Amino acid sequence: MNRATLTVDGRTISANPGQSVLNAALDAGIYIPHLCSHPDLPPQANCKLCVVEVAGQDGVVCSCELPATDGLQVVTQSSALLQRRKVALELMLAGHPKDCVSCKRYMNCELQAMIQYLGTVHSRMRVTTRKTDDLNVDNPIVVREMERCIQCGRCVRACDDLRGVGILGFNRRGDEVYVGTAGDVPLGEAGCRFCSACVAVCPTGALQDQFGIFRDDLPWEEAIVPCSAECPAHADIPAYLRLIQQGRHSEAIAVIREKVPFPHVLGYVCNHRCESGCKRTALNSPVSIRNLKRYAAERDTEHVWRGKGFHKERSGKRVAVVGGGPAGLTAAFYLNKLGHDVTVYEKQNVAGGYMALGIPEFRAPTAVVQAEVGYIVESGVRVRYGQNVESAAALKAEHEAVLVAVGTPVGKKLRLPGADFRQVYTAVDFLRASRLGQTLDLGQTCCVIGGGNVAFDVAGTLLRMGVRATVVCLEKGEAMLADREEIESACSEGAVLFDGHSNEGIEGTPEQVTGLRVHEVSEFHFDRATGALVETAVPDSTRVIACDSIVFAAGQATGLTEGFGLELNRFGYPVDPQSGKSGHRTSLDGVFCAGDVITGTSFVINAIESGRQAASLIDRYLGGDGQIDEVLVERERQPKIGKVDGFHLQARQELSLRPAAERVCDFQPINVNFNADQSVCEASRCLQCDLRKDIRKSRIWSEYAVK
Amino acid sequence: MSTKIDLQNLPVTEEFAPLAEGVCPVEWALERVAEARLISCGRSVTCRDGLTQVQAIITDITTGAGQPGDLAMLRDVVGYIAAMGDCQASLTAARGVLFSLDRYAAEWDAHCNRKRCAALVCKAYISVICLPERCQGDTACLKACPAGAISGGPGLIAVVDEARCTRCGDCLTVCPHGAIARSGPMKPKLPDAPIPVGSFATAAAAGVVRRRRRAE
Repeated sequence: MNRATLTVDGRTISANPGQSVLNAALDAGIYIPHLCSHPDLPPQANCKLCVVEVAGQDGVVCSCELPATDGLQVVTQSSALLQRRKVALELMLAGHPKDCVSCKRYMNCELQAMIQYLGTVHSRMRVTTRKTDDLNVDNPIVVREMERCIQCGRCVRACDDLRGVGILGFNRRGDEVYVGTAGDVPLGEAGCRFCSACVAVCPTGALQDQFGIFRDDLPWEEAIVPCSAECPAHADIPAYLRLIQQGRHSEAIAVIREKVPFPHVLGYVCNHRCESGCKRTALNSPVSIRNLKRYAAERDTEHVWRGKGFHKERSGKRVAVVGGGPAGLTAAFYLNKLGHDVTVYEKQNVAGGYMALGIPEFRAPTAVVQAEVGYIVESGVRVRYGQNVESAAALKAEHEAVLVAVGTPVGKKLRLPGADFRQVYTAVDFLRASRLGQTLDLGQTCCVIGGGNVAFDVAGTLLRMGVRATVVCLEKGEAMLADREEIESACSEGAVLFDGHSNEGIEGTPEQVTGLRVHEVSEFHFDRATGALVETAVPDSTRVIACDSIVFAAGQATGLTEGFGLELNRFGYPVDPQSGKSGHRTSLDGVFCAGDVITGTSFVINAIESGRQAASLIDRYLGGDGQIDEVLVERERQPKIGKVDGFHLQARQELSLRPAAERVCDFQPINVNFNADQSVCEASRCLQCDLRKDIRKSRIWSEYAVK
Repeated sequence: MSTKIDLQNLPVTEEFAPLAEGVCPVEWALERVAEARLISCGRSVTCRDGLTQVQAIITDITTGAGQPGDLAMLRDVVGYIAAMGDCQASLTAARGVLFSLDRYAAEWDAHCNRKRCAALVCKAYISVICLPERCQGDTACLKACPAGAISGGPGLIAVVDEARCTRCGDCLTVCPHGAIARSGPMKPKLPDAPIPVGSFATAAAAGVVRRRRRAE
């Protein structure tokens, strides 16, 4: 069909077949006032603001319902039309609160913009109130301030036409008509999917996002998908949860691989910041995103992501990456794709860094780590093992750029009497030895000093080696730094916990540790100026815990020295002389940093994101555009999600923990992953916050050329 | 309980016959609007906000809260609904109000600006009185009054306390002598307090009964 040609206020415009005069005019940049019309919704002619006059016809007609036919002559501005619009707006305002400045939609309100456009004020009409405004307002996700409702019906159409949920409608109670659910049941009971499309289209403050559900320090488009916003790598989480729900596991992994090259490892060890952002938390509990990732990774046999994404022409530039951990390997992976010739210098004889040697086998299986490292090597990254790089400056001489991603491979010992005895180890050395199958002199009982996750990793490993483990830490109970589940897991496996205890010294001789002398503390803090421990000891609480060895899980350091050629701060971290802080840049031109060597010991996902940023930075340094974003799977967002009874109650699926007595006998993962039903169930709990990104924003009068 | 709106079963427009004697055109218009609000679609600005506004304005006009300019504003809104309305219920109501406004303009003006209801229907503008010449000291009205606003007794002329009277009309039908009546602001001479039946003419002549001030 041909496009129709019509005139609007003397301007000739063309319209698509079937288009309304309103939409044709708006597309042509000519503003016609409207509130109930929305670019993504069918017309309803509720607000009567889009009235126009048509040549040859008496009266006025709503342009949202007027088909744009050939030869139509339309007038949008006249004193009669202005009068009609003003009465309509005055009538709406009669029932609308006058507290604009205390409304959260202040300055972001289409009704307010309309008041401004038409120059109408609340004054002439009687103030009207409704008794139905307070119905059904108690809701954890959608704030309903229905006294602000102008009954444009956008939410009703969004719920029905856009989402296929259809739980909102026009209800009557006595002589009042209002928007609500059938029987005025709460949204959850009505089968709401909490996609918040209704909020997205509401032109006033009647429907709002619950305060605090989204971060307000991020751009709006980012903040409304809080899981992706929280993820350091900003993985497209709703997209891969949808694919998992459909059983398309390989494509789900491809979506994750757009941002991180270690999806399977993260499925085991990620600290899942995404889950803390999950909007579903407000309903009951967050979606178990990490476990679903592990589930999908286990079933990714097709590897649909292979060969996809960008592969730039070879640049001929050489890049050296020092350290083959998550940060270094991620950067190497992308730098190679960007066309550079990448060599990873790894001190150990295996790559993977902390993933391979710092986390116990039962938390991140070696096979999983090595498979994902293997894909990176396959992609063309050269890894040279057993290389202890002593000087970044020397390396820089042979390469156009150097990335220092050595992490924090050196365990720290507290300055305790006896800390130099033979059976006193650091957690780093201990865990590395356990992963490499090296034997240490641990005896029958070992004391672990420290209260973080690493301490409990050590304890779990000790128990699996048949060594009794005692964990001693300063913090007591709730204040302990490790995750609850880590503490509970280790304790149920038989670890003994001395929380709220301070160490006095290690008993024994330099040849043989015999015990750890501790006392209880009632309170402690670290001096701000010196960092020294200030504690209040419980009188007469000193005791000696008998043990044959000690493992310090008391922090780690970079191990870098001045000889490395970089300017370091007093803690041994390279500093960027421009900012004076640790960052991706260093004191040497062309030498960059990534991962723990910037941040201190942190989580794998942070190291990966740091590696991505470093790769982008280095590419730009080498003359590239630094662009590393890629799409490995085309997105299909299905907006019609439909109503699901009891959706709000669907409970989070938890992994089943293997019995403690069984799991302490081997190094297999401590829990059993979801079965197929559980994975579908859990993935379908997602609120699909990202669907909202596809809803266009209604433009206000000031955004049009002709107004 | 809430109900879904059924757009299919809304009533159709009707023509309006002249109002019967004793029907207040303002009250009649208000009833048309109230009826319409119970069955109209309630969706669009004409129907929901428009009819609500019209009801609010007319209610004020019938209760003494009418303001200068209300009639012009009412015409604006009703004319707007009649032109733009979506459902038959709101169109019918709007046309009814327009009919009343056009045909009984003087009554509307009297309600809005002079606080009078010629049909003695609008409670804010009437008083309930006991006609002293007719009253036989029968106490039926005293017993019927739910507000206890009537004083008197056997053989005494009943007196209605205007401040306590709610104009419910319960007393109007019970008097066997037709002594209870509605009155506009111009009231006949009435005793201030109950006096014996038959003594009113004497008392009035003696100046005991003063003519009451017009209630404003």
